[in-house]
Amino acid sequence: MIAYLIRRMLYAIPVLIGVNLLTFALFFVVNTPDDMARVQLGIKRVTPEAIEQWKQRHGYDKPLLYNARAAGMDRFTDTIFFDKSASMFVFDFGYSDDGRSISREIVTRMGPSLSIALPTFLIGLVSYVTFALLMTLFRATALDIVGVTLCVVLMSISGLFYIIGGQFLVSKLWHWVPISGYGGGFDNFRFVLLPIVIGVASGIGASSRWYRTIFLEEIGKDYVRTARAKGVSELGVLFRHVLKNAMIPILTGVVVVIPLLFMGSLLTESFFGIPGLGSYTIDAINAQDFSVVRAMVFLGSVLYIAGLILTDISYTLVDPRVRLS
Amino acid sequence: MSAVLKVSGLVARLHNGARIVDDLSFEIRQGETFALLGESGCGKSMTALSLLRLLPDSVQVDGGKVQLADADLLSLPERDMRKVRGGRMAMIFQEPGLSLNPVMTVGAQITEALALHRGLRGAAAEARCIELLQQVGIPDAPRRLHEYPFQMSGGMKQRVMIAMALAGQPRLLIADEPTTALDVTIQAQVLQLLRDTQQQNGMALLLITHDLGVVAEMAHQVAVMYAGHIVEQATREQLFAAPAHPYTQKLFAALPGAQRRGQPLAAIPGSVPPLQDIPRGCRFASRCDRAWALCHEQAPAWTTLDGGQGVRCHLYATADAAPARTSDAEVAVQGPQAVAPAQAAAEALLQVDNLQVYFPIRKGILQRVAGQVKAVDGVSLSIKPGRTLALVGESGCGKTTTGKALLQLLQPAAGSVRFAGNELTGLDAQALRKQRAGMQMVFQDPYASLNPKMRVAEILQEGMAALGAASSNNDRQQYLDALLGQVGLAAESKWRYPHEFSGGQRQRIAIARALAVNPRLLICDEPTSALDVSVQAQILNLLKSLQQELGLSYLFITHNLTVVEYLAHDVCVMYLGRIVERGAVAEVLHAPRHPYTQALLAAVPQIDGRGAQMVSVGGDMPSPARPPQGCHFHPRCPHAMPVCRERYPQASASGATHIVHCYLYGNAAEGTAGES
Repeated sequence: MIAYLIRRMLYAIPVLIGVNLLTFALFFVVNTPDDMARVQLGIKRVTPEAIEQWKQRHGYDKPLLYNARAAGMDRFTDTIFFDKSASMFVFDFGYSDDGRSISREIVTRMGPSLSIALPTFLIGLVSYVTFALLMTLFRATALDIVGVTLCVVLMSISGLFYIIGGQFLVSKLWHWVPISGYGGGFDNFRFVLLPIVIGVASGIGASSRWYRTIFLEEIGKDYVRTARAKGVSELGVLFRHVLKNAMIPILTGVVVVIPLLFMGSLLTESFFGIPGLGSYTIDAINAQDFSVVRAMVFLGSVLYIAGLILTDISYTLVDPRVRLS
Repeated sequence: MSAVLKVSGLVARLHNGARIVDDLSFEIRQGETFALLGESGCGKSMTALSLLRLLPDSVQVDGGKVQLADADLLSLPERDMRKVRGGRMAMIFQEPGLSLNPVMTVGAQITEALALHRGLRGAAAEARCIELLQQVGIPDAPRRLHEYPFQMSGGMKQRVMIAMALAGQPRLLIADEPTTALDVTIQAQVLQLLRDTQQQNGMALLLITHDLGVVAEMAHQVAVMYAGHIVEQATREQLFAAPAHPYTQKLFAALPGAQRRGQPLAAIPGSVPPLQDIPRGCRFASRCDRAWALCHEQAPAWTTLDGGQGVRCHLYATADAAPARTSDAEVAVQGPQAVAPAQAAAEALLQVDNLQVYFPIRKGILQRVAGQVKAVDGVSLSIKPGRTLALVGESGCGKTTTGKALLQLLQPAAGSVRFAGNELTGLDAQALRKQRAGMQMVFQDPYASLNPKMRVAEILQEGMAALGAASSNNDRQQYLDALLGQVGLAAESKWRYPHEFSGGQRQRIAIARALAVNPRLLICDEPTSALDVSVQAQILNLLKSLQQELGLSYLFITHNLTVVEYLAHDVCVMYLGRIVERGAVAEVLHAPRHPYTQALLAAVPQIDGRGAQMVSVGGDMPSPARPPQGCHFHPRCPHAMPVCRERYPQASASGATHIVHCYLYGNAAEGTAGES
């Protein structure tokens, strides 16, 4: 198992280099350093000299990938790609275009992101599984049909609708919580409540319906019949036998997103004015700040790979067949 | 003896109204084994599940009475019924691998039953659990308690199932095909265990099976089921001496075996009627060669013959009205006469020398090859034109791998495969394609081996097109029709999809697919093991007549020794990747020399109604990744000598064609000489 994990981490290196190259290429295809300078300087102050100066100050005056004028290894190292991207492998993200340290920004913004994403994830998982278990317990009855119909309706509605509709009803009409914003301390509860509830609600349709399918598949298996033939009650069958087996596909499907919780949600954070990493990314894209976008994409891929490795580890924890063979 | 279970007039219906269990009545007494015999889909498993009230959602009990001792099971509230399940009545199932919870230790699963029915918890439960595991013959029980089902072999898992069923000290044990998924030597062990357990605690056993051999070994009373009805009920002795119902008679006649060599088996034509459209008269009438007008109009009543044998057939109710009986002999001679086996002198069509197929075991960060699973380890065999070679062995012995390696579907590690004089190993894809037209494969499971999204015509043409055998469209259609005719299917069936056919018909399609490119050798990998006995007979007859018409050679891969006896000319017995004994069928099956062959033969249940046999070999087949040192069989061999543990025995001949790898014969002297 240790050997397997080490191998997986080694595989991650070429993947990260690839992600880096691809982000770099995509960004500079739509966006030359000159364009970046123009956006940063603003229409009024754009002169060729100002652009050159900006590029020099921010390190964009070098060739992109290959420096023909340099000698030796410098041909590859004296480039924008090497300057801006290579340092990321040691998690040195450099500075954003407005001169702030990206690393510090990430650390301070992770808190707000997590304060929304983590409760949404945990409350979501518990409520989706509970809802799915209920539908399974009452399978093939009217309750089950109503539940599945509800799921299909809920999953057919766009996530944006939940956010806008929720803000309108709960905040504007009923004045229960503020529409948007973020504060410190215990008071913060008022701000994060609505995004969390909406986050949970918008996922319930798709997830519960999927989990219900997994439960139903398990409940049709032979070992469940054996358990019933032993005299185990229907609730005992569901909780002692089915749940543990069904949690294998559910957990492993869910674990992969845990590291990505740090990144927050793009939509929710922008709509609710949460100063997290999601809104940070959106703002950087709007401002064409390559350093930030690149750092966030890199961070995303690292976290995703970490999620995949965690998935493998979680398999070994929940499934004895993987753990012991 | 008092009746433990009394069932009367039991009916179970599908939601669409089909009566899949229809008016069943029987009694099981204490200490008695009652066998419910029938082919797939006859309603025998549904009967068992209705007794436990565990029917699937689509089926419900619709009338009748089930009396377990003094309790009326069908009217018990669910709460009390749960006490009955696993308590007074327990059940074991066909697939021990699927019937145990994969993420719970076997100890936890047995303890669950102990807690429910005996109120045992903690240390007391664990102690009882160990006792139970020891009782079902699991060695090293305190350790195995903490193992998961996947760490055990199939036979061990079935023993755990039995231990779990015994946890509640049931008065009735229902065993639904308990040995069908197991190898024959393991089957013998499990049947022995069931008999011993019954003797110890005097419980009643309801044994559900399709296997006449198992019935012959186990049962006191037998009921034969057909299309939801019990059509005949008798004691074992009565049934095996004189089966009364035409269906039962046909079942016996459909069994392959040595005494039927050279004559076609009595296959039952057609298939079981669909249950939503049950005929008005006798359900077997459309397939019965002794049916007359009355049989098609009026359902026969239950008739009790002398000696208590019961039968549901007009032949016995109104014996005077029945037309004269056509003799069985007359039916049997319809088929082609026995063929003389092709001349032994002819040159071998397929010659395999020292074939080896290894699968690497990879380990570590860099996935270096750390070892080899020697799935096939030096197999040599040869097949002459027009002859059948059977490759016999239990699951995991490498017989299927051998078949695939012959076709070069797997890359052999070493050895030579010569087909019609051409070496196949090392050929490039194009040259190989040309050779493949000569050898084709028929697979085990016709439900899985035909593409469900392709019409029969497409399935047949695909191989022809791939091997360039097709000509003009018109010719091709005619060829397809002829091909389907050859395997006994109507020409129209080419426009249909595989799911529209029954298992036997699908296997016919699979055979037609293989024949489409005019092969000279068919590799048949367990072609009948997924089929019912009566359908198996149809397929065996077909294979035999095709061999006579087309002069085909067969490599018949199977675990079923009665099929070998019926069909094959030569036999190779395989154990853990190596052939341990080879020779003509008469030599190997009637004068087996290798202890493994002897054990295999002894483990096959005999259909003579004499009852139980003793188990001749214990233990499980070791993993091919770690074969035992020396002779692979020595850990299970009753005759093992010190030399067997050291070196693999050389071949020793005990006849012109009979060769065996065992120190008991020939080179035993050399072995002991080396030691002293």
